[in-house]
Amino acid sequence: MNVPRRTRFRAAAALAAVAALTAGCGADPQADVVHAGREIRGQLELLRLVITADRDSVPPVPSLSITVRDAADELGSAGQDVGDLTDDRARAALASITDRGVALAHRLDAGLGDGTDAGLDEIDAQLQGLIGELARWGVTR
Amino acid sequence: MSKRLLAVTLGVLTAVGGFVDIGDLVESGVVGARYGMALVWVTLLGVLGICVYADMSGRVVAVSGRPVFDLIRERLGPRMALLNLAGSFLITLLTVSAEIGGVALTIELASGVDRLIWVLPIGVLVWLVIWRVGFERMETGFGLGGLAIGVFAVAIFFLHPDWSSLGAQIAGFGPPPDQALPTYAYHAVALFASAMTPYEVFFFSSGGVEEGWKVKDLPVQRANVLLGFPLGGLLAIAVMACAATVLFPAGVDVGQLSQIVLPVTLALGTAGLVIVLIGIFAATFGAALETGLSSGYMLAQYFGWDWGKRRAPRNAARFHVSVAAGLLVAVLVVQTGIDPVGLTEISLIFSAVALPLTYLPVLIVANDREYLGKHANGHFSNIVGFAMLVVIAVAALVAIPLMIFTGAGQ
Repeated sequence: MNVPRRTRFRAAAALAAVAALTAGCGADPQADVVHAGREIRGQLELLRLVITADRDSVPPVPSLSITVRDAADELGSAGQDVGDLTDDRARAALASITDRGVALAHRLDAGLGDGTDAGLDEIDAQLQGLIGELARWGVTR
Repeated sequence: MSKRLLAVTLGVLTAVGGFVDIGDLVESGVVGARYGMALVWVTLLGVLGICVYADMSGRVVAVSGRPVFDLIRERLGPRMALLNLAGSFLITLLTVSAEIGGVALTIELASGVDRLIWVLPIGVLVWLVIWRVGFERMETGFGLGGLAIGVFAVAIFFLHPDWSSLGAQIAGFGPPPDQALPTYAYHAVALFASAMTPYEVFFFSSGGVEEGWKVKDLPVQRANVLLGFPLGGLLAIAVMACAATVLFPAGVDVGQLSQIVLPVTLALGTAGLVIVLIGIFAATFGAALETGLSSGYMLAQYFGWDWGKRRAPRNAARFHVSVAAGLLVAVLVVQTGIDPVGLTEISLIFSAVALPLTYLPVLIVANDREYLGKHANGHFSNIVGFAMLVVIAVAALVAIPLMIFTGAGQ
């Protein structure tokens, strides 16, 4: 097919612009940190909501346990995004927060539905602490 | 209560309970958590669209006594009908898979036992219900069971939301400042498709033939559509409102069914959770029945086979075999371990692409006075139907590019 030179040039320019835009979007380290941190923060907040729900529902509720396990899985996959961060300090900090979040999720899962509030306040406080750490990296929502 | 009023009430309630399926649940929960109530207008638009086109389909069936797909083939020829069949059939198979996955997830939430254990038994149970249970009993039973999803509407009051904030989100229309417009548009398309899933028209019109609708039944079926679907849309909005009240402020990105039901557990405790799980089970199981049957309806009506639940299997063998084969394919898809929520999102986006293939022929047939006589579309139906078709065409055109550009709404 005989495509005019000017058309080919325009198409190449458009592709280059899209490539530059895409590369530019991915090249903002702070934006990447906030993006990766948001997913982690959302799951930590979700775990706090489960704690609130568990206080109200004394009988064991499988759905809450599954919510916690899902959150742990989501934190795990968020941890993979963290591994791609170019800022070494941010990567290490967010990876640590993710690991501690997953550990808290497992502790919460073990204590769910036991009919008591034992340990919940402490887990909640630790979750809030992790959310505070994220805020120091600019992840506020 | 007169017999007619009872029939209307039962029909409306069934339509309300049957409106919400896994697509509505997942997408309403996802957008509520991500954008608050900013996408309510899309649900309202989708409900308007499905009402207009379901009304057209109902008239076609009541007047001609034949299902819409049958007339599409006759009116537009086998090639156009084949295009319609290919698009709608594949989407319906994807939707059956998503519904069966939704049932499995619901049982997992109730029992704590892995969802993959349940997939095959659910497939067999769906097939048995299709095989053994009468059409009206099946539709009414699961439709009424789906009303339990109304517990989302109750939960919203117990969550004590900031009503003015929810109102501001509705009036805001656009995405929150920290969210990108393409992702917002992607979810708008998926939410729109969840209200207008292609199988709904095929099931509705084929069901009309199964129930033997006549012209005298038009007021009843119109009441079912014009009252039942909007009220069903309110249930979807209640799911969105619960997510907007609990998950949106916390910045939780919904990716699991367990997260969508969490607001109900927070508001109403174990009792609320039990009710909502019953509702989701009934809604997704009912939708699995409808989509399973729809895949058989489409094939049988295109190829001119005998079809229908009222016919003994030996008299409509190819129809029953194709329903069973469709269910088997769906079970195999879910059994691979694919995430049902992700599958639902994909099925909605591909549904959006196939929407014009479903709805344009309906509009053409509903305008044909040879088939419908004085019941053909009037000015109002045509204006709204055409306007909705423009929206449908735009949604179909942008669906795939948005999916690629946004990484499936991430």
